[in-house]
Amino acid sequence: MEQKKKEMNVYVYVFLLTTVTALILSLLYVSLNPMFKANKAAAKRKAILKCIPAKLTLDTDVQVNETYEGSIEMLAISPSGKIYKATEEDLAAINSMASNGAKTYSNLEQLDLANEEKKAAKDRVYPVYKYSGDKTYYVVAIRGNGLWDKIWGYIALEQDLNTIAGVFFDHKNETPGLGAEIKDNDDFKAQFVGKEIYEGEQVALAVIKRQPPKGDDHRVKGISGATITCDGVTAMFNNGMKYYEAYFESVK
Amino acid sequence: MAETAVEPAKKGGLFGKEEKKLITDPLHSDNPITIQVLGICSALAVTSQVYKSLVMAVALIFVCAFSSMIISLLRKSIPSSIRMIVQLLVIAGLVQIVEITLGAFAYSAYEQLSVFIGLIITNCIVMGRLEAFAMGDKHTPWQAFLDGIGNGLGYGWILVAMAVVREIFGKGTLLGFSVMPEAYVLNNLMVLPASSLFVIGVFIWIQRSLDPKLIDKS
Repeated sequence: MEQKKKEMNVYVYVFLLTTVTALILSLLYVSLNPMFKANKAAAKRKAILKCIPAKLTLDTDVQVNETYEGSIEMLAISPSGKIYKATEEDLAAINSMASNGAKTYSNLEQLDLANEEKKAAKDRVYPVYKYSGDKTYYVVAIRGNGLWDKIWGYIALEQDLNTIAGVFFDHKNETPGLGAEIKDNDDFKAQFVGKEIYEGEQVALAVIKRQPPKGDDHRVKGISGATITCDGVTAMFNNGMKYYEAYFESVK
Repeated sequence: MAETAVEPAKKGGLFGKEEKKLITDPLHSDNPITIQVLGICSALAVTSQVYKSLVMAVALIFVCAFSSMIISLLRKSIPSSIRMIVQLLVIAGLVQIVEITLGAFAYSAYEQLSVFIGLIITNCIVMGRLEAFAMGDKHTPWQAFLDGIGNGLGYGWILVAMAVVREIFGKGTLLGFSVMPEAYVLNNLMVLPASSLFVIGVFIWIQRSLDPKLIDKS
């Protein structure tokens, strides 16, 4: 009897303790999650705005959101050149193509390449962020593989849709000090500014091992010790830009 | 934090000799990293930048202090057969609190530390202190709380000191500001996790040669 009672006590104890913990955590989560989501959204907006060479003040999330809302128009495009705007109908059209467990979006800004990659290739849509200020820039999103995991980036293009105005790279799990430098090293990113993506019809932009000769329009010097990540960046451009080509044609 | 609200002293007081020792011992002669060699994994991972290790240190102090206090309060009621499970539950709950709070109020720190906040759950220092101190019959919850703070600080200051060395030599910066002359060639080894083993080694060496009491005679 005594033994049984003791056992019961253990169950009751565990049950009570887990319930209390779960209650506290879920309360905290529910009350703080909106802030977390807002932070995440602002971080994405900031990444996009940071590629744009215009002088923007982006110190606080409020400034980021104001600048973004005031200057960016977001579109989604399909590889065949179909344009989706931030309207309910177009959003519904995009959502109707969600398959293979890809999530649907409640607004266009949630559009996420990682999520799009789950869909069949023909159903994917890609984001374009059109910046209108003193000059117009088109920011596109690309995604590929680094050494350990995914890498991705935003590329701001001049109005000719060929010359790079600025880049932003990020990664899931590259080595700090080596592959992670694609994100952390401003000198690396600065090299891309002014380079041209296309030579004729081909994507010619590449990250190479040596310092490219002066006046080279298409190549940038990679990070020593991070060859695979740098090759990943090159591949990301090669793959990623082709989805935008039909749209670029329609704009030109 | 709350512990600064000093109440009128009872016997021995809130900050008696013993309580002070709980805070100061782990800083030096009983340091969790350099003397007990606990919590090394995170010391390798998050010390490449000072900012990261500062946040990590604060997070660990919080978790260590409050888990010690809670376990010490629950001590008598915890059924012995599930002692460690209860400890883990308390630690994991507190770590989640840290993670959710960071995500809402310090998003950039949350992004940079990513998995390492969650890995505080497996930090040997936290559970080690619960087993070694907070579960002990002689210690009050307040003492357990101080012990948690002390050990968290002992861990934290080593972490930050390592990060200072690694960031200066690896990136030429301190808290993101450039501190090294232009001509300095960045030492990439210092950015890699392996370098922290060297740095810890040097710290232990310095610490032991300064204090003869710490030298292992055998």
